[in-house]
Amino acid sequence: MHDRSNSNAPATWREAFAALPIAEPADHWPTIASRVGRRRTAVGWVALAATLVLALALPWKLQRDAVPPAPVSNPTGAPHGELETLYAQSAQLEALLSYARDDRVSSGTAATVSAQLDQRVASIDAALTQPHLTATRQRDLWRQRVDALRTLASFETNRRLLSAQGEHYDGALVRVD
Amino acid sequence: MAPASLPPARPPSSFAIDVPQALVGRAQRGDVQALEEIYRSFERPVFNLALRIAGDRELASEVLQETMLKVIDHIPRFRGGAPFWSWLRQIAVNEALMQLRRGRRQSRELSNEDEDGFGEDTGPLPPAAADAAQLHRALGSLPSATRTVLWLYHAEGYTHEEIATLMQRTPSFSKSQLSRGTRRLRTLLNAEESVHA
Repeated sequence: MHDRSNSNAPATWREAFAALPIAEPADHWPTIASRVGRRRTAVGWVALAATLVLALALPWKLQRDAVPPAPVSNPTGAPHGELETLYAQSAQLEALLSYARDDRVSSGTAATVSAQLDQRVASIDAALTQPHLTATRQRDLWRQRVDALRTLASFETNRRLLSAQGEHYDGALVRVD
Repeated sequence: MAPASLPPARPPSSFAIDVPQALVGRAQRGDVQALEEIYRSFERPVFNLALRIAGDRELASEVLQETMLKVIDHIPRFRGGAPFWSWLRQIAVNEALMQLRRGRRQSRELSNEDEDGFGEDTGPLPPAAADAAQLHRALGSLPSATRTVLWLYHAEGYTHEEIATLMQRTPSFSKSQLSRGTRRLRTLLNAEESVHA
């Protein structure tokens, strides 16, 4: 029975509730940790499967139909070795994009980001069609094109992977340039 | 000059535990040790909140597990706009309320809700309120929705508007439940007092 003369008696309901004894839960961490472990294993298999598909399919696809985009003529004497490398990288990234893209899993915001990245590539392509480009300008534009495609391919593959895990890209948009 | 009236200060929540940003960051990167540290910090507040709302240790254990699994799933998306503890508490309250809805307790109990008697009870508490066992019994005999409102308002410091949002009801509902619940609690504790006297 309580002590009526107790000067520590609660004055408010908040104090009365706060004075209730704290109940000790059983230790559920081992169960939680094992459930988390099982989920991660499952997610890991999905990621591995996606990687394997890309690793197996991409070289076949590249061998079969990868054609470097038609470069503009090079009357200014841009270093051919570096340009050839940039053309090849562009072609590979475009092939990767064609595999990674799946508009069925797109959300509105992700589609907007994707469209903005597409627009960036399109504007670089437009700049590349301009006549009388200097060698330096041509090389810089091709570098920009490769960078833009790399960003786009990274965005699309991440989006595809998140979708395979039952998530979406909206929460991660801040990571996109 | 009289000072401008300020809103009443919110009582500190049992969840109000300072979690270092570095620990949250490690947990966001999937560091299991960091996740366990977070679990250990919040297992008691989550369990006790769930116990008050669900009124049952077994259900409270389920709420604790589901809450922590959700926290682990969603922690990579925690952006730090609010304190970490309030983010986690929100998940715990939602999970506990979900548990109530699953048991369909709330719908039965709330069918006869009314919106009379909004006045907040500020009178002196019955002496029996100082007895933890009696208060525990009295709380346990309240309908779970009423008990939930009392607990969220008094112990966790939620406003009526926040409780209304959490319980998908109106602020008037929250005020009504608080008023009726407090009256009922007084009656139960006074009755205990008479028995013990």
